[in-house]
Amino acid sequence: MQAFRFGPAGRQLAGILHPPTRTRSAPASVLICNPFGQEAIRIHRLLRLLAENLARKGFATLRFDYFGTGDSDGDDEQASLSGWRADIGAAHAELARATLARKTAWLGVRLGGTAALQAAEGVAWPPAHLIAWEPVLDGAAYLSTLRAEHADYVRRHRLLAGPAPGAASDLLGFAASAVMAEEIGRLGVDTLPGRPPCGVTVVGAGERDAARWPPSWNVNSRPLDVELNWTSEEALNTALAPMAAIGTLAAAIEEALA
Amino acid sequence: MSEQTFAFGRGGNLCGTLTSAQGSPAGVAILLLNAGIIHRIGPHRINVKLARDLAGHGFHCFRFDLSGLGDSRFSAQARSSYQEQAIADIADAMQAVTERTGVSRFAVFGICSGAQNGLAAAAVDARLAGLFMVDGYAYATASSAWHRRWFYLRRAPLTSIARWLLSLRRRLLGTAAAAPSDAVEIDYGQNTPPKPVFAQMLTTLVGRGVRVAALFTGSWIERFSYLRQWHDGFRGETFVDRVEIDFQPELDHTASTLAGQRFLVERVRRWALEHFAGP
Repeated sequence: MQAFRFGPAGRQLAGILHPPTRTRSAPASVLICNPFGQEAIRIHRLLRLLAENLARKGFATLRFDYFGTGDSDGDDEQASLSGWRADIGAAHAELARATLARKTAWLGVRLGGTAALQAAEGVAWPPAHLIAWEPVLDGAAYLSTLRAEHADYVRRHRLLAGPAPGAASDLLGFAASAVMAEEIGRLGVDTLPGRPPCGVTVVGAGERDAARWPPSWNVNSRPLDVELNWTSEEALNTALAPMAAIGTLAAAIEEALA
Repeated sequence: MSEQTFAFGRGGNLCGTLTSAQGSPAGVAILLLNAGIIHRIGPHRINVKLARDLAGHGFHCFRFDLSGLGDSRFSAQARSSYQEQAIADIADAMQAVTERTGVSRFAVFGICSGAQNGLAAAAVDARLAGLFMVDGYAYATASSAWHRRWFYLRRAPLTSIARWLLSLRRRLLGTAAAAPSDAVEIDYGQNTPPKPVFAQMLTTLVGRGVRVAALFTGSWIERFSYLRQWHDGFRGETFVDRVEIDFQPELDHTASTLAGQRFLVERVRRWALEHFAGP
């Protein structure tokens, strides 16, 4: 595991590279794209374990935080979905530079999956395959859920609340700028590129909603019998790392890179 | 704002991010610890927000993951207990910061297990000159339960009254379960030390000149339910008036609102500037 920062001064991103611990005949790599806010905190442990699992299978794996999230430069309210897409491209280039792998798969989780689906067509050398784990396909509904959960938590616990800086929204303790909220709110299958930029596998709840995908996408689907509460605020000491999810995701990635 | 993320520790197994002080650096650097198993950014990124605010006021800040948490691994020389390992990791973090900044005195900020680990480290390491604990150890007094009931009554009057009436009915009917003689207080996994042991630790720390602050949130109401609880519980102890106590029932354990985060950042900044500003 190698911790480092990459990107231009003022927009440095925090990355953790898991070098492969065994050699494969055709070197391949995996880029992991985080979800939003509390979901990224809850899933951190699982993604570390998954990355270690992939490294043991011989795949160099990079986890990173977008600008304005996690350990990277920037404040919450400076993040935007267009910025996320640019950061995915930068991380993809960084992974290629660091590993010289000829083939790369992306794993995007929730909003990170949607951003990855949009970002894939904009990179010079697209990934060989994209695995989207429960991607957000109805941005307005997603935003509405986060706002409702936040309001409910504040009301139940009588918490100090107030206006967020600028016109940002407080989404379970993470600020989303007006730009970010508008970008999320617009998300839908109609905002995806007309044709998939690479092979796409959808894992988890999204795969049950196959009818919503544009027919031209022809997505593969892989069920995941694990129900996750992505945003729970209640249990400080309960991160999400079910082994069934790690096994399913690792198998999907290995199959995509075979 | 300049930040570096790097591996450190005797086995290179630990991971942390140093936020360099802006302007002339203070003579004390600030360590930001894990809360529970949340990685080094802290709940709702509070450690990142604290680090950048404090760095803007002249403090080098270091947020890092203890062994096995976040992006840190266990080393081959792992200690026998979780807390011994935490103390060793905090010592490694101080060493790493000193090598990069030259600063050799430290204050530590921690929520929940972070407060617990910070206290344990401060008790044995003279480099630690300050300790800011959020929802750390607390000890009930004779009137804690009444204050707690009053808190719930104000927060949810109908629910509270209904629960009391139900409890009263059970008692009158003789159906209430008898409390076991060895009933254990809710501990949230903190392994709370006996009160005299805790008092001795505080006596030693304050005697050594360590600046100690303890803030309790609404999430800790079962443990700490009114501002004077500290003074009532430790009346007569030499440290009682030398520890800064805050009771903020409108905050929660993980600073779950942006307004709560701003309050916490301002509170910690005020404490740091009051005690540790300057070279």
